[in-house]
Amino acid sequence: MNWQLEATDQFERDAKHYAKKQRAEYLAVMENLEKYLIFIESVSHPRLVQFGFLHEEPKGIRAIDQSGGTLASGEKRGKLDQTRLYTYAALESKVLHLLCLGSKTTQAKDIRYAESVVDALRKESGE
Amino acid sequence: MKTATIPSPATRPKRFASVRDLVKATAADDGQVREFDRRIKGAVIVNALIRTRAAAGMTQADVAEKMTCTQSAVSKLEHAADAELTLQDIASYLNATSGRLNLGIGKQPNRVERIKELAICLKSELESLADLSSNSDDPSIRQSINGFFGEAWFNVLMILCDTTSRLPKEAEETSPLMLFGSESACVTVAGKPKKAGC
Repeated sequence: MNWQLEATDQFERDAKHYAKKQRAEYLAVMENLEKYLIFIESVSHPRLVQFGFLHEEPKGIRAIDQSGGTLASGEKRGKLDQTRLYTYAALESKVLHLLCLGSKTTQAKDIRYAESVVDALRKESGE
Repeated sequence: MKTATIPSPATRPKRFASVRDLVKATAADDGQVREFDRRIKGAVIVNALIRTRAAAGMTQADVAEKMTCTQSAVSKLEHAADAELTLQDIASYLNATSGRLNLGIGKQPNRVERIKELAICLKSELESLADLSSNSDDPSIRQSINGFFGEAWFNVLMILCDTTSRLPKEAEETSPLMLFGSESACVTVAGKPKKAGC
């Protein structure tokens, strides 16, 4: 079974906002998310996945940033604003939860929010 | 303010089968979806390389050690566009991950052409193996190659039987394999005619 993505309402709102206001950052994190997903499809545990754009956060949350890469044309991406997409991989159900998306300035608040969603998810699944 | 609430099952968060589906649902416009597609299409080889690292359970540092380069060089390669890779990059990376990548350049063959190509390859490999058995003085090599031919016979026939059974009924009735397996068809095994069946 392949991994599925499950987005919170908050993530959808954040993603739509970024898609409109920060187009380059939005595409960069989506590309990195694609690479992350390719990798977790092939390993036994998402913890084994290591990329420069992945950041470990508390409670098993992993943040994907906007860094790295060139465009298909070979041009560099250019300077992008710091962006973090917070994810939580539920191994049993093979669901990658997309919790929220934010900037460096909203980081503390975003992590608090992501943690509270993970607490609720764990409670729901009886962990 | 972001507050965590787990929605009731009726309003369960949306699931997406792929990042593309997610982009389609959240992009500002169609142009953004096309741009995402363009970027993903521009990294097909890179992503295939990353899969070989994942399958080998290696970190970027492991690959760097085998490629005798830095971990950041591996990271750069994994973030490159296909257009930037050299054949040397691809070969070194695959040597490090013990991976294999078949690159088809030019017009993609259709399924029938592909099956024909594979059949030609199969014939050529079997001929080489048969020659190896014929020219070998070692009875154990001859025995294992001959045994392998038995397995190959069985497996190829099983594949044909299995896939033919998926054909729609009208096509099944006219397939050569069904004629082969019909009441009128016989094969001769050790001089004694026997009914063929799958």
